[in-house]
Amino acid sequence: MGFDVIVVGAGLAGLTATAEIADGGKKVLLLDQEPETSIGGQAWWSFGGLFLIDSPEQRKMGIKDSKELAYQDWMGSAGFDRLYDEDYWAKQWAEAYLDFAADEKRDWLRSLGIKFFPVVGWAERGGYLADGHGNSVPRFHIVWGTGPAIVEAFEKRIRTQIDQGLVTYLPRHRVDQLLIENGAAVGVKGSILEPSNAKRGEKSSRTVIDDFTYKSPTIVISSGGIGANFDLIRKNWPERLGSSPQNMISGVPDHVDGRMLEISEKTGARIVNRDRMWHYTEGIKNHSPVWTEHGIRILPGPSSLWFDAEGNRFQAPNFPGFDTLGTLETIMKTGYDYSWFILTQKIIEKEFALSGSEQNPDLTGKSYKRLLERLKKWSARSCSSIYGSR
Amino acid sequence: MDQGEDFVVANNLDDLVNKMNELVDNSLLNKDEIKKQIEARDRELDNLFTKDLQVTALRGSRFYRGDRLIRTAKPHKILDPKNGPLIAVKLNIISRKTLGGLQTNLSGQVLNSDGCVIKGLYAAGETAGFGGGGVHGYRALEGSFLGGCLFTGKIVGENIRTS
Ligand SMILES: Cc1cc2nc3c(=O)[nH]c(=O)nc-3n(C[C@H](O)[C@H](O)[C@H](O)COP(=O)(O)OP(=O)(O)OC[C@H]3O[C@@H](n4cnc5c(N)ncnc54)[C@H](O)[C@@H]3O)c2cc1C
Repeated sequence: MGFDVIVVGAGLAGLTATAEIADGGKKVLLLDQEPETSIGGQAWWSFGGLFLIDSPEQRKMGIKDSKELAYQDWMGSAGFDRLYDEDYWAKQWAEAYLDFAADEKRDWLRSLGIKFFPVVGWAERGGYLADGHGNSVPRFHIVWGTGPAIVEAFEKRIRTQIDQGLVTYLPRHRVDQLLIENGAAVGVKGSILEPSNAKRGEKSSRTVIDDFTYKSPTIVISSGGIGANFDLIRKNWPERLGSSPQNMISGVPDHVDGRMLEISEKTGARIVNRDRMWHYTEGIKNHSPVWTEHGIRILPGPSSLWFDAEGNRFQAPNFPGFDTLGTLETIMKTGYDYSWFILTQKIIEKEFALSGSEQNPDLTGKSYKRLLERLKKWSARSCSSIYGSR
Repeated sequence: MDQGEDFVVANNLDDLVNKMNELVDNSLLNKDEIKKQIEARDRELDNLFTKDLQVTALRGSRFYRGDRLIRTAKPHKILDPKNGPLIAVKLNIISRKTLGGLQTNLSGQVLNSDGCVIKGLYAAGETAGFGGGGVHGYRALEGSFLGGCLFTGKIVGENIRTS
């Protein structure tokens, strides 16, 4: 069987690429190591927050945004300082992405049936000067239906393309090797893993029952990052952030193992900026874990008082939701790998959201009624319910 | 356990700090020192202007309708019992995103260490640093990860479709 293209990884990036390619009539083989239950990868678990610039939602909330302002914010946050090397393409991608987020992105997503919650969130508020880190204005657009709705929009397209014979989707197919000949991709080799009953996000077995080789002149790697691989995280941990945390919890499922990155590098692909990672400092343990060391991130409002492990309040601008990386650095330089919020019932009622589709059943379930109830109850709610049973 | 194990709740600060120390099984936190800092912060609320930049930020953010509605509590004194019991949360480092990755050109083609294209090899999503091997640089503005997957997936798809 011949394929025009092989896509490695059925997360959001792989699904998007597959759908776009097959739209043109090319035949795509979509491989993923996980069982079919995990289609969509991390995106399913996500809160579905999307960065948009000068959207109708922003305007309705009275926010004046522009491409220039977003450019200022992006570059102030990125701090690209390897322009003639590792950042050469990265910065150009950033510029292209800003154009996309200001123009095409919202219309394209809406044409795929994706809608947005009307209150735009304000993430990464910065706290430095105008050209420093952070969003000058709220830009975090929560998809109505959160992560699962984004996945659904693309999965639907793929399912149709499977029916049309354009896409062949093989779960439990783990790629172990990229085949390159004379500087050109020619195929992939890998292992067929035993069938698994693992539910979405659960760790699945790695027992190999067979191997496979597929040939194709075009290969797309969309295998995700290294977030579940603590060894790799510690290995890549940059000195500027202090020592690497001894204790960590995981914000991503086990399949985010970084393995394919290493395989690609072995084949000659170049990995850049490996010292740059985006880990959060407001993790709480999930009392009913799905994946290994399962943690949930609190998306904090700005009022909680933040103390280090020895009880010293952090200096400005290490306030909740201002500067994730700066706060991570500050915490790690205390010599401890944890910190504390102290807050009141009133603050928790209004300000605590948990980042993930599961933790927000009203937004995920697209229930305006449930959302209104939540908003109303926000003031009456008991504090246990915010980290309640889901 | 029904409640999060990283949370403690108490009606007064002394009890709260005791419980915090118990939770991490040490005695690093000193009640008097914490009380001094929170009392100092609370005194800053008597006026609508203040030197405490966090309090200034709270007042500022409430000029945004969305924050006022569902995100930023009306500034109040932490130690005033009428604002409800006190809560402390132990915050752990939680892994998430990889900002670097495979270096790709604007078509999403993967490059080798000489900066040359590996023919036929593309990368999209987090594995490509959400574009180019690190579209965020050091810091992200958020909401740009899913967006980066969508954008790189789309660009790669379009390039392959038309090639
Ligand atoms: C809880 C949570 C909340 C989030 N919230 C947001 C948010 O609000 N906004 C935002 O922008 N981002 C958010 N993110 C980040 C975002 O979801 C991810 O960065 C994004 O979904 C990554 O997509 P991907 O397709 O690149 O990779 P993944 O989703 O990791 O998919 C990669 C796929 O490749 C497969 N794979 C890997 N190696 C191999 C191999 N060798 N062979 C075969 N298959 C392989 C994996 O099994 C997996 O299915 C969140 C993430 C999480 C976990």
